[in-house]
Amino acid sequence: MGEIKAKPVSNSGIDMKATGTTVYISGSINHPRPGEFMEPFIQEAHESIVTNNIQEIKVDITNLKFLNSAGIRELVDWVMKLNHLPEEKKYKIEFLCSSEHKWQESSMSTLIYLNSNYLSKVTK
Amino acid sequence: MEIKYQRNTNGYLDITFHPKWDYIAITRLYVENFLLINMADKENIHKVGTAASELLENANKFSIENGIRMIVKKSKVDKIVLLSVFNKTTKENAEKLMKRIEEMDKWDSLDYYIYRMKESVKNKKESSQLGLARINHEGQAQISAFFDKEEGVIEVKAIFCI
Repeated sequence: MGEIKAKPVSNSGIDMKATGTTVYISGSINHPRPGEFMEPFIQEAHESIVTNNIQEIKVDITNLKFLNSAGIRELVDWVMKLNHLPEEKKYKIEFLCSSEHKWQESSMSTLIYLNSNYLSKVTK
Repeated sequence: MEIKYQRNTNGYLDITFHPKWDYIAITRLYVENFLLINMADKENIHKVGTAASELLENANKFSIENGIRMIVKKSKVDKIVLLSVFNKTTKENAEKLMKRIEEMDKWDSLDYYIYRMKESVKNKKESSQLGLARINHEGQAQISAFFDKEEGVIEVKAIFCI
């Protein structure tokens, strides 16, 4: 099975990295323009997933304490990239959430509505 | 000098700060800690904290003069928390925001949030404009705004039933 290849990001108290088929996003996203560093990472990860024909990935946000709406937009953008792929190239994303960070339940539940066939979440 | 505050509440917080973005996160955490007194439900506390953060971000973006004010009030009578954020802005910005609230009120909160999510990625040069929809849906808050034309100050108010 292929691996996600994306250059890790560590910026303004936020860390993003990929290990195997899991993307880890941690820290606290309060930045006014988080797209400046989230977008290139997500784009690279997305291209790597498609190129390597990875069918299913996990996005671990259990250590993501806060995500502002500008950060939510970056995740929406990722989902839209997925939605625009031809059916045979689409991949599943399972978000790993933590019940400790209350925003995750409500925010991620809404995000999943954007493509309930390919997105799911598990809360630890 | 008189220190003004509202009596007969379960907690009253009034903060004014210079709109430096870095203060938003610490203010959110402070609001959440403030709400821990007399409130037990962490989910509700988080909803108000997130709303404070989103409204302060908006105020920071659209403030035309330095200085943002925020009031948090825990009602003694009803199970209500009131959050108000004030900033100076232009008439055009104020009208745009009030129109957005008017538009939002016509929709189901989830449908509107999803609609705004999709709209937000169409033009990434602009701000996400997701904050109000997020407060409306995730916080289940009643949002309103008032623009004082003489002072040029807009107040955005979110009421939470807790």
